[in-house]
Parts: sequence; C-alpha cells; structure tokens
Amino acid sequence: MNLGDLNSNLTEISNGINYVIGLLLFQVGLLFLKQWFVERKKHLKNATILGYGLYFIFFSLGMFMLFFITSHPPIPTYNIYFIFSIVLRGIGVICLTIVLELKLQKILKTRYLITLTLTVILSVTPFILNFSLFYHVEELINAILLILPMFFIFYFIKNTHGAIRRKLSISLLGFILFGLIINFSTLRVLGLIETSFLYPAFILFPIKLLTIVGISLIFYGFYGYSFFLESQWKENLLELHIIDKERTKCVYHKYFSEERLEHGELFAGGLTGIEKLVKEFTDSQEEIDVITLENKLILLSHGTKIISALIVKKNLQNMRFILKTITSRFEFFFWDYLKFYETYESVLARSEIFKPMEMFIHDLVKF
Amino acid sequence: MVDYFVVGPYREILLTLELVIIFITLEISIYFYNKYLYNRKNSIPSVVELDWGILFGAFSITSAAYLYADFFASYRDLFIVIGYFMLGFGAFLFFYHIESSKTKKPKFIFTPLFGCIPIILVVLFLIAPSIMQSVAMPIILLAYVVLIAYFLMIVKRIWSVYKLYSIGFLFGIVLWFIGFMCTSDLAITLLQGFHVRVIGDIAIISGMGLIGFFLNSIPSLAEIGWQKKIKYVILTAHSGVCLYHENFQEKQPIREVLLAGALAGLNIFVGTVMKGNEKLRVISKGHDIFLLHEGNYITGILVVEQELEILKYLLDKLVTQFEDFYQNILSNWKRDIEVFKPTEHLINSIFSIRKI
Repeated sequence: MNLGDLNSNLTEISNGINYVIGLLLFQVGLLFLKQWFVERKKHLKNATILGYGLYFIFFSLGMFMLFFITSHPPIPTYNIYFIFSIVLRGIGVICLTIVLELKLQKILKTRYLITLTLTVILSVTPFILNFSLFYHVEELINAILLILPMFFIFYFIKNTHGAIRRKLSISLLGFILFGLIINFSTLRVLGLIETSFLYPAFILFPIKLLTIVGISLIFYGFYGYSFFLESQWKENLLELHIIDKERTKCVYHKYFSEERLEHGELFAGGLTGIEKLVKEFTDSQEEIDVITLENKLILLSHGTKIISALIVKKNLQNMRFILKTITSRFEFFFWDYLKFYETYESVLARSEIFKPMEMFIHDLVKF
Repeated sequence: MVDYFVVGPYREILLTLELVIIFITLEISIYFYNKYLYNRKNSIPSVVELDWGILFGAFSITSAAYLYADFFASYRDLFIVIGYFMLGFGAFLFFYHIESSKTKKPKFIFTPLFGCIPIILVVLFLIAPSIMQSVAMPIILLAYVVLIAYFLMIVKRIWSVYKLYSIGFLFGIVLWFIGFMCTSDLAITLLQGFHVRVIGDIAIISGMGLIGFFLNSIPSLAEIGWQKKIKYVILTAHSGVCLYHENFQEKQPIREVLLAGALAGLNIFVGTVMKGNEKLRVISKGHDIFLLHEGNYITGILVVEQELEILKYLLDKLVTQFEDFYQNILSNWKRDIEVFKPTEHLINSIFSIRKI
C-alpha cells in the first residue's frame, strides 16, 4: 500500500470516526440528562447538569451536521446546513450559560450579560455568511463553546475535594483535548490543512483519535458519581460532632444549618456505647462508618483518640473526604489537649482552644 | 457470486456504522474492566464484570478485524480468521472465568469446547480455507445459544425487582444476535446485497443501546449476585429479643442474639436523639452491612456484604410476610420463640438460596 492509498483509507476512516465523535458527545449529554431526570423525581433541583446535558446534546447535533457537510462534496444547500450547525452548537452553549449565570449570579454578577452577548452574536451569524468576518465569528463561537464549560468546571474543581476533584480535573484535561476538534473543524483550519499538506489525513486522523480520548476523559470525569449532588455538597451538611473516645464526650461541634439534634447531649455517649456493643457482637474489628436513617445519615470517621460524626442529608464523596481530613487535622492540632484534657479545660475557654479548627473547617467548607 | 469486499453506495454508511459498533463495544468493555478493577481494589467480590468485559472486548476486536477484512484488506480470509480467532479466544476466556469462579467443585464443560474452536479454525484456514466459514457458522450459532442461556440465568436472579429492565436487556441481546447474523457472509449471499448488513449493523447498535440502558438503570451490577452477599437474617421484636436467625455463610460467627439487642438499642438511640422520628435503615461497618427494616411488631435485619437495592426489597418483603403470617401470635406474644421455627420455609421461599 502506498502513501496515497493510506491517505485515502485514513480519510475514509476519519470521516466515519467523525460520527463516532458525535455519538460520544451525545452520550455525555445523555449522562447529564439522566442524572437530572432521576434527581428531579426526588424533587431535587439542579439546573447545572441540565445545562451541561443540553450543551452536549446540541453540540453533538451541530457536530453531526458539520461532519456531514464537510465529508461530502459541496452540496447546494451547504451554507444553510453550515449556519444550522453553528446555531445548534450556539443554542447548546446558551443553555449552559443561562443556568450557570443563574446559579452563580452572586459570584459572577454578570446579570445574564454572557447569555445576551452570545444570543446577539448567534442571531447575526446568518447575515454575515458572505463576509470575511464570518470566519472570525465562527472561531469566536468555537472559542466560547470551549472556554465557558471549562471555566465552570474549573470553578467546581476549586469547590470540591478528593476523588471528585481528581475526576473533574481529568474531565478538564478531556475538555482541552476535545478543544482540538473544535479548532480543527473550522472551515479556515480545514482548508489550510488540505492545501498545505500532501497527505492531510496523516494530520487529521491522529487528531480525531485524540478527540475521542478527550471525550472519553470527559465522560470518565463525570461518570460513577452524581455530579448533580456532589456539585452542591455543601447544602447537604447539617452538623459535625467530634467525640473523645475515652471520655465518651463531645469535645467540639459545629452546626452548618438551622436543623439541630433533639437531644445533642446524649449523642456522644449513645453513639460510642452502641458502637462498642456492635463491634463486640460481630467477629470483625472494623468500625461503623455510616449509619443511614430514613432522611439523614451519620458519617463516622475514627481516629486514634476521637470519633468524628458528620450528620448529613446525602452520603457524598466530598463529605467523606472532609470528614477524614477533619479527623486527622483535629488529632494533629489537639493531641496534647486530648491527652491532658482537664488541664487545658481549666485554663482556657473551649471556644478559644478550638479557634484554629473553626478557621480550618471554614476553609474546607467555605461557601 | 457475491463479492464481500464492500464497495459502492453502501460503503460509507457501513464503514460509519461498523466504526460506531467497534467504539461502543470497546467502551462497554472498558466500563466493565474498570468496574472489575475498582471492585478488586476495594475487596468487593466481583460477579460478572470481568466476564462481560472479556466478552465485549473480544467482540470489539473481532468487529475491527472484520471491518479491515471487508473494507481495506487485500487478503480478506486472513483477517476473517483473525476475527474468528479473537471471538473464539474471547469465548474461551469468558467461559473459563465463569466456570473456574464457582465456589465448590468447578466443572469445566464449555472451557475446553471453546478452547478448541480457535485452534480448529486456524488449522482449517491453513489446510482447507474454503470450508472454514461453513464450519465457523454453526459454532457461532452454538456460542450464541449458550450465551443467551447464560443471560437468561442472570436475568432470572433479578427478575423480581427489575422486570422491565430485564426485558429490555434480553431484547438487546437478541437484537445483537440477529444483527450479527445479518452481517454474516451467509446473510449477504442469501439476500444478495449489503442492505442486509446495514440492517444488521443498526440492529447491533440498537441492541447495544438497550444493553447500555439496562446497565445504567440498575443501581449496580452487583445486584445480579445478591444471593452470595447475604450472611445472616435476624428477626427481632422491637424490645431486642431475637425471634429467629439464620446463618447463610457459616464461616463468620456473630452473636446474633446479643447483636439483635444492640441494634434495637441503636434504633431507640436514633429515635431519641434525632429529630422527626427518624428510623434506622443501614449500618455500614467495613465488610459487614446491616440492613434494617422496621415493621409493626418486628425489626428485620440482614447482615450482608454489600448494600444492594434488591436486598432491601427482599427484607421488606420478609418482614411484611412474617408479620402477616404471625399476626395473631405477635399481637399477643408469650415470649416463646419456638413458634417461629417455620420461618425457615418463608426465608427459603423469599431468598431461594441454599447455604454456601
């Protein structure tokens, strides 16, 4: 097989892979929409994942159309299809900006300016098709398509912890790779590659494969957990109790909401007592880590001298991470205090002793 | 004579559809393998993950070999035999893993059978390539029959809770099977054209879609192996007195009578401390998970290895049926636990398991 044949074979496969890319994007969209649909049944509202879902669905439809017209000989209605593909992608990004500007209005303070600007740009696109400016508008829309979701993923990375943060970072990397296809699918770049290289498929084919890797990373980054719930984990926090194992006494507590325990004073003693009993009557030395009630959960983390109990509405990975961190940090900061409890208690007020912990928790859970 | 090398108007659509099939099956295979690795890392017993990962992975590689054979290869039969070899090898690994993972006395019936097939096909390719496909077709049919029987057995385990999803899953498997048959050389020869291959590819993609929907709809694949996850069943009065207990995995003794009291105590503690009359549902303690369901007179406790929705459903069913059956006794109970001995039959009928 000579290079010319290989180039034409790769071109054929690349054209087929285009549709695989479209399908994978559609799949990512379905992943978000499914989560939104499932949680909606439980009367939980989160438009963020609806926004991401619609973004990917419209994006994939736009890409299907774009791939269809770029992999076939020019057809008379080429311009209409092309405009339509841009509009579809634009609608996707508008769906995303509306919900994100709504959710983050206190932080962004943009008052739907991004959405409005995008709508205006998208509305004028069909009228400038025959001007050289059109290519710049197409590239601008592509840049917005890429940068906006990345920006918001970056925001969620900053506001999550542990495994979720790692997964979101992977999805961000996926977005960067995915950006390749956006840049290499503009008319100008496609034209440039086809005229500059004798065998353009040798450039385009690896890019298509990298794009598939990128979309797979995006998919992996959002799969296996509920982005819906993890992205708003702070709203599910209720109370934190740190219990001294030896004295079976609560040494520190923090309330994250108005909802409180009915008999908080019984909590430490009752919990440690029951825990000891359950441990004794089963053969394994493992500790209780979650107690699930009808509407709440008690997450437990065991240190050498303390048990941290976090009362929450949902069992989320972010919470497990912060609970583990709080336990280890508390023991690290207050080891002496836990050892010589009586001495410290008589010298300092408890609020003074735990001031550094307040700051630490505030940094972990900052709203 | 039909030329199997795909040219003409169907070439583009067939290439696209078959690339989609390769990527989807590869994706499903990676999904299962990833699940298997996760379970292994977290010491969760894996049920079907690796088997299914192998199955879909082999199908993906086979599809890639067929695609190359029919679209680009100058020597078609070589890539066809590579495809058959991969499919046979995948089936061999699949059955080997299933048959070797039986807890007691593994019986190897399909493993040697599917182990021989790739070798036979390669030998046929070398000495009599003209009859290779005629031999391969009945073998593939046999493999599909065995696979369908296996999937029926899998679905039977979760039928009580996931009826609709199970139907969708089986329909997906059947579509996949029909699609695969439609893409064969035999179908193209009989129906004189590539249109049947397009239909076959669409059927395979639809089948994959249905299988994907099933996988995303059930909470976890571990639901399929729920029977192996049960350790104990304990039924207690609200006061903490143990009415009935049964040990399903005699290897890990617990003091069930005392444990019942401790859990009853925990339930009272939760009711006292928490607002809104909260009830205890699950206690997770490393590899021991306690599922609780409170009825009017009794509390049912299942000690299991993994928190599964199907087990919660069956526990609810057990408590309801127990209370219905013993309603007259429970409303005026004289602390005689001998009367609850027939519960064994109730447990056997609900969990339909033999002790491991």
